[in-house]
Amino acid sequence: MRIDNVSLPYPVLGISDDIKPTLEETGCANPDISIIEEGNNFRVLVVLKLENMDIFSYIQDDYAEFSIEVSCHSTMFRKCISSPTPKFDFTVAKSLLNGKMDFESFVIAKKDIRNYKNEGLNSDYEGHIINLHKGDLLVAYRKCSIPLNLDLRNVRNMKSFMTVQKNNRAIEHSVTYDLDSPKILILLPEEMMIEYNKKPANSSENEERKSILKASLFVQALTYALLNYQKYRDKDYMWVNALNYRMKEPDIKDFCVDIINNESNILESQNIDDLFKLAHMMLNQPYLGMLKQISASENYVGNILTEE
Amino acid sequence: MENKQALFKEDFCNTLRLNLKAGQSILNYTQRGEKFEFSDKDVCYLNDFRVNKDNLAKMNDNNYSSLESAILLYEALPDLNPLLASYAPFWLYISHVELITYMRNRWPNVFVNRDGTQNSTDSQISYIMDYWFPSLGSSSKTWLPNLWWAVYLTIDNSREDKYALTKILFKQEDLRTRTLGTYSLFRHKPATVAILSFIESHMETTFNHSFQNRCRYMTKYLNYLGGCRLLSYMDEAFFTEMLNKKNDDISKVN
Repeated sequence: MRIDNVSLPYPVLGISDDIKPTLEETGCANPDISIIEEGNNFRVLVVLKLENMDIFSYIQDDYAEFSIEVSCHSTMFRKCISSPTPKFDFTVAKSLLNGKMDFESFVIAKKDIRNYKNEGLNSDYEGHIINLHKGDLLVAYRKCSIPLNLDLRNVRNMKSFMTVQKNNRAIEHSVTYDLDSPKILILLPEEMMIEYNKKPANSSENEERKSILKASLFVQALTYALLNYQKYRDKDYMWVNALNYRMKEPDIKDFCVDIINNESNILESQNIDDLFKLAHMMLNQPYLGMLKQISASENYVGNILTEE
Repeated sequence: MENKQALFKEDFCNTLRLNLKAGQSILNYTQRGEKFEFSDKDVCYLNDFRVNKDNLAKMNDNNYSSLESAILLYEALPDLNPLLASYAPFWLYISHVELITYMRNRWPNVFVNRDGTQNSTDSQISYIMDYWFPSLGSSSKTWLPNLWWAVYLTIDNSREDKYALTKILFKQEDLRTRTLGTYSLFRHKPATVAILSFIESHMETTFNHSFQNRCRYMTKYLNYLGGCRLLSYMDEAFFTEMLNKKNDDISKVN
């Protein structure tokens, strides 16, 4: 169910300030989720936190329970699992999932609740009698998604989310990119593809080529993908999952807050500057790596643009 | 029954898509087109995967309704699971090689629309993309996967006719491709069973008239109910009760 930016006709802890203190204020908004591969299954462990004593009482009195809706858009999988405790431990067959697993966590009314009471109710509800029906929400935690097909050990490796292919369009003579694909597709015209595929003479030439390609083709491709990120952010593509995961890693997390939280498809110029910087951070400063490789090369003749 | 199924490698899937987007392969998607050319290196195989090629051949004969084709396809692929069914390269091989005759005949209006108007190149490309190319993450919207998912989500082995609910879903294209079949509620089996059973049991009364509009009203109503409660928490009895309560209102829709 869609609970982003909506108000329901009854108060829900986790939606705006319907009930205070909010889930954010008590540090309870984010479910703690971990997924472990076990043979043909994924084992899922979820822990929810709740500090609102009135809602706890409804759970203890069997009027409400913790519930998680687990779904996978690609495979049409959708399942609701409920528990009287905030800890969940269940398995889902791997054959039922692809791409990512989406989690929506709630406390749900198990049966009708007449004259619902909560000490933290927003003053807007003063004087109103609140009746909840079975299936209504008492608490709505923050939604989250966990990528499944992503090799998390390899998420910093460009190969895991970018690939190079020949562009069959005869009229195209420059590099183009395609994002409607599991990986970011870098499309090279035939003459460039021939050069790209040439084997390096030795390992030092190989390293030099890699650093140059990283600082040219790949950093541009990643910048292009980041520029279009808002349009694709909810798609189940491997490159989107890789960027979503990478943007939450500690080394760049703070830098990405605005990009992740930006709902708009149109980027402010401030964001565009940040995207260039972000692409360089994600590829571990490719210009520096390239310059180091070039200056170490036997054929290096020095600066070409700066004055002696 | 064969025990092996080919599928295109991802690079070749990209090539197919990019060739189409460049307008180079449009003719291949029509009855006048040649076969798609590919080599061994463009293909990989699923071993120990049963495929009833006779069923696929029957689909290519093109004498079957959408419902019959869906059941033929579903029964042709007894080992297909949701993970593989959501993998575009699997469907791209089937549509571009094994069911190419079926697909070309089923979706013939590449150049000329049903109303006789000529399609622009962009419209030709988007027409082919819509029916032939499963988009990642929503393969169910494309024709062949959609047929398979429609059976997968409605088959009920506890019934004497396990396809009874599938037959209701296919009764009207709108129900499968625009309303119920596209709602996330369709993925909640208790809801799907309750809705299709309700239509089945009221076929001679509520749904003997204005079928499309009454189904639209009903599915919109259930969607509305999901606006403020978690529908995946609710069981089949809840949906049946809600629909029975709403039956008079549904009957008034023209």
